[in-house]
Amino acid sequence: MNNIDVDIKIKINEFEASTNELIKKIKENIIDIDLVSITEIINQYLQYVIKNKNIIDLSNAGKTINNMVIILKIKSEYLLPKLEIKNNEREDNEYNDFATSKEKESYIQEYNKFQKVVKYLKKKEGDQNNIYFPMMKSRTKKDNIEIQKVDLADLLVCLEKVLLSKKKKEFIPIKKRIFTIDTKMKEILNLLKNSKEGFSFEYFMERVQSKLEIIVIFLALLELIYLKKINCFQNKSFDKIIFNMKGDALN
Amino acid sequence: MFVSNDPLTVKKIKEITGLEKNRIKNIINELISNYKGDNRPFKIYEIAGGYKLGTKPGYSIWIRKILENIKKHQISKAALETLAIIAYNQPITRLEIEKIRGVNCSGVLFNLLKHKFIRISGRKKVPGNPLIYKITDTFLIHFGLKKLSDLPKLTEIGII
Repeated sequence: MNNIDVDIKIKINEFEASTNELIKKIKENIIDIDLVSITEIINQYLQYVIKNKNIIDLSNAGKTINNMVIILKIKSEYLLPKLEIKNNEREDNEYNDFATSKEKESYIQEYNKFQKVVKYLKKKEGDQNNIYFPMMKSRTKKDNIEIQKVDLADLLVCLEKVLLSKKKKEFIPIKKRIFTIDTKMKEILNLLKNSKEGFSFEYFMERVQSKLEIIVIFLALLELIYLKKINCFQNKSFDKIIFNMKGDALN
Repeated sequence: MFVSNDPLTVKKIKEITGLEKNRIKNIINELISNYKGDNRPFKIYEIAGGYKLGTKPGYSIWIRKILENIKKHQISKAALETLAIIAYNQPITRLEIEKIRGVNCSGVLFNLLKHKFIRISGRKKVPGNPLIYKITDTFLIHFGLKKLSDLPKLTEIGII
């Protein structure tokens, strides 16, 4: 049945045997597993398979693979760190308890060390709080209102959002209104003149009745930003984009 | 030094003034000793590898009355613990910090990163490639330290 044992001989150093014999010898400690190279066995096996691919019996070839897996298992068990097996369970538990309590103790010691560092840092922080540096106040105050720069991509995303929300509603054709970017720019500036806080992008789009008007307003806003007549900013990420008048544009 | 937001290094002063490093150091030392006297409300502090002009601690009672709206950062105990562990073991991964603290530190690390007390300095070459953290100059400025080695050694800490 085990034709393969006869067919595939694995050479390891001076020893030559089938995989079955090899396992036997390893188990009997005749061959040192340390000297058995798994890659060497696989290479020899593959060479054999390639050489005899036409006449090979697949079920036998499979058995060799199975044997190689067994050798691989023995080798990996040998290489892994060994756990000490104790017969007396109680003793084992006691040992484990001792080990964990010792480990715990060392962690607590380490943690306590850092507690002392924390005290030291706290003292340093207290001392430092009595010292005031010029310019430092702006750093602490600015932390809450972080104004981020808005770029064209953000504005386009906003435009897309408005267009999408408008799509759902039906547009009611009323009167045909002609609006140019110039007139919209003037309208926007007039609106912003009276408001210090400025208006959000959505505010401008609230009373819009056609897609074309949205685009014209958008272009008007872009033009005003380009002309540096208005500012646009976001208080935080994903917040509303707010437009307001630039200081010198008021004059 | 008066208007610079970050501590002014000798290198930066050299770039601005074109003076020799030694000369700059001598001038600064001269200024430091000049300001030491009781007749000045401010002095030069050596922090985070540079120099900064700041008020003397004795004047803080009056200054606080002017700046009553502005509160300085008070770091929480959890954040202080995390900072201490990073400062003494950097570069360090989140897992290593959590091993010492025994609790999850993601939130604390996020806040410390947000306030720029720590920074990500790369990834550790171990399975999973975890991020490694280091402290920043903001940490040194906040605690008034010249450099990281100014922190007391862990073996000395019992004396404090």
